[in-house]
Formats: sequence, structure tokens, C-alpha cells
Amino acid sequence: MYVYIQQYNVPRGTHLHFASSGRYVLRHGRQPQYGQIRSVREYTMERARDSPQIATADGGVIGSSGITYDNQGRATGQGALPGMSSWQGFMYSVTGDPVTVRMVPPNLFLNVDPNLLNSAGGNPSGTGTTFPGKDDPWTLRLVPVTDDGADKAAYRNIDYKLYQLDGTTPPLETWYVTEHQTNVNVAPPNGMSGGIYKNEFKDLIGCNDCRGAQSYQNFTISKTSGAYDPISSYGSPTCGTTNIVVHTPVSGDYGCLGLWVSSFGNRVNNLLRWPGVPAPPPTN
Amino acid sequence: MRWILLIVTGVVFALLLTIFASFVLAYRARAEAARYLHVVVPLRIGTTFDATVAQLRDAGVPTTIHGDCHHECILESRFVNRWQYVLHLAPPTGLVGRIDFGNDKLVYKSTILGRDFCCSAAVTESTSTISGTSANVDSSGRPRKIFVDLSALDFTEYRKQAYAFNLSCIGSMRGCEPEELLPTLNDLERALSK
Repeated sequence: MYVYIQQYNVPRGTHLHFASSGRYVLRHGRQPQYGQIRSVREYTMERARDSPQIATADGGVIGSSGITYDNQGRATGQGALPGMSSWQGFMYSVTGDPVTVRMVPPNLFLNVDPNLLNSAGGNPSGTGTTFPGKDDPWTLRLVPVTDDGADKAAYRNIDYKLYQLDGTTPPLETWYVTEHQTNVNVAPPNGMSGGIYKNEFKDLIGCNDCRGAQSYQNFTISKTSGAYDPISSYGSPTCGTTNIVVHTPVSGDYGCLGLWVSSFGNRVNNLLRWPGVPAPPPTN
Repeated sequence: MRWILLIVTGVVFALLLTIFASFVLAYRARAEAARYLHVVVPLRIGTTFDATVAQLRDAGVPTTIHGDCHHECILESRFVNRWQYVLHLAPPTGLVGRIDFGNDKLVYKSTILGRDFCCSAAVTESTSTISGTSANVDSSGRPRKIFVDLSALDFTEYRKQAYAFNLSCIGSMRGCEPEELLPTLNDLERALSK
């Protein structure tokens, strides 16, 4: 079984084994802590502090970091342990809604060994799928590059561009972004709005003389332009753990954004403008 | 009985007058929007705040200023069929113009014709030196939000087409469909593909 490994928290010297039977074990030193190894692919975790602590009813395990793993060795998420690294490489905030508020991971966690990813050749779902293209879609980040949001302004233009995990390098391939809104009025008729720009999503937030509407927004990406297609798109069309991450320079990383749409100022995560994101500057 | 008849007649008359007034105000908003566009379309990035305000004032365009314009401010104008939709006669449709100033100079323009939450067409002038058109589409492939990035250096026919908003949408009782907000969208796309 091939497994994509992104950011686990396990002590230096800990070995993570995946068995062909589907069982897996975390081992520290020479003594297996859980399960039994049969046929194995082995990866050494270079950093961290995790070790299996609690076996779960479905055959999974909860590490000491709070990260949960299922019986296929997939990190399935994290328990209510704020401030710990999560499955997709962002941090859960200590406060606030765990869905809408996720904090940026330290750079340490973003330094994923590309050789390790390539040799793993898989994806976070643990299905063992090899990416047909050059980009690992799960490592791509949607970064706001300009934002003209302002208090009392009826409309807000945010220009998001897709970058690799470092937040600055463009993807190797062409992707198209679709937004998903829980309030379908904000993106009629069904809450989905697909971009046709390559590796970019222009978001226009606002309405004519509305006094406020709340919505949650998240993004998926696809190799084909237009709106979300469940077969070819990466990410969940609803806010959850498998959304394409929005990486903002100051505020952090988010899988899901909270929107307040109003003709008297439009807020994203209660912000009238993303901090650290410039307004569109003039042409010289 | 006569009093009741008088009151009913009065109410009906007032209602008709209000409906009539809502249409008059919608048409006035449409006319103001046209005057706004007349001033704003040729405005160049770098124009001073005083010169811009003077032109808008001369054209009789109402504006609201947010911020201190000698440092950084936004000048916003809205032309909306407010009374029509308050009376449920038409969906809220309007043109919203925004001009940003920094250090007393015009740095950014955004003009958007939109209908409630449904759809919009936006023209912005800022960073890009190349004009371009894009859209966000719904699941059937129809454009819901149209974007035109207009180069501040572009004073060709493309600019005229970019700002060719269908202002008759303001006050339209049935409400405009997305593609009706900017009927020149196809021309803009064709111009780019040449």
C-alpha cells in the first residue's frame, strides 16, 4: 500500500510501517507498539513527538499528539487538541470555530521532503492513487494576491491565485478553481461558481442593497474549467477536512471561510480586507 | 360610507403615486449612472482627487467619500432602483462605481452592474497592463460574475465595449439575466482571441 505522508508528529527514530494486510504499526526503537507487521514499506519520520496511545474501535489508533489514524494507516484528523498539526498541514486554532478558523502551520511543517512524497506516490486519502500530472493537488494553496475590500464598500474583489505549498511558486500544471457557498443566494443557483481563469479565482463578493447574508465558502480545484465536477475535482464541495486550503500571508490557512455579504461592507472571516494582502495597485 | 370611500381612494391614489415615483426614481438612477460612466470611463489613473470630484460635481453625480482623500480614500456612487424593489416591483439592480485615491491621486477604479445576489459584471482598472475578460460560471456553464480587467493604458475600442453596461437593467421589472448586464461580453472575448 502506498501512502502519502505529509506531516506526522512522531519522534526522531520512529518508524511507520504499512503492511500489505492493511494493518500498520508505529514503532519506536525496536519494539512494536501496536499491531503486527507482515509485508512492509517503511518510512522514517524525521521529526516529532507522536506515538500510538489509544486504539480505536475501528482498528485505528490515536497518537499522543491527538492525531487519529484509521486501520489503513491514514491520518483521519485530529481530536479536540488545539494547536496541533492537523492532517492537511494546517493548525487548528485554540479558539473559534474549528472549521472556519485554522491557523497557518509553522514553516517547519511545510518543509515536506519531496523525495518522500514522490516515493510514496499517493494521496492523503490513502487510496494509493498515483497523481497523473506533475502537481500534487493536495499541496496546492489558494493565495489572495489582491483585495480591495473596504468598510462600507458595496462590492469586494479578491483575486486568489493558486500556488504550490510554499505559497509563492505557481503550479506546474493548469488548474481551475470552483467556489462553494452554503448560502446558494450568494452563488446562485446551487451555491457553486466555477472559475475559467487558469490557476486563479476572481472572487466578487457583494450584492445590490442587501443588508447582510451569511455563507460559508470553500474551494475545490479541477483540471477542467467551469464548475465543480465530482469525478475530476479535488476537494470536498462542502466545508470539511478535504478542502483546498486558502493560505493568507498573515491570518493563516483555512479550509473554509465565513462570509458576511452586505452592500455596506463585505467580510471574510470577519475581515474587511485580508491583512498583508495589497489592494490592486495602479499601473505606472 | 363616504369616509371609507374617501380613505380607500386616498390610499389607492397614494399607492399609485408611490409606484409611479418608484419608476421615476429608477429612471433617474439610470440617468445618473449614465452620467457617471460618461465621466469615469475616460478618467485616467493618476488624475487628482480635486479634478475628479469637480468633473463628477459638474455632471451632477451624487457621491459618498470614505476616508481622507489626501491620504487614502474611496469615492463611491450607487445608482439603485431602491423604491422599486422596496415595493417588490423589480429585483434590486444597480450600478456601483468606486474610485480609490492614494496621496491625492486616482489609483484604482471599479465599476459593477449587479442584480441582487444573482449576477454581476465588473470592470476594474489597476495593475494589469493587458486587458482581459473572465467569468465565474454556474453549474450549467452560464456566466454569473463577469470580470473585465482593463489596462489603464488601453484607450481603444475595447474600453468602450468594456464599459458598455446595459443600464436599462436598472428599473427593469423582470430583472436582467447575467449575459444581459454586459451585452458586449462576446465582443470582448472575440477581441482577445484575435
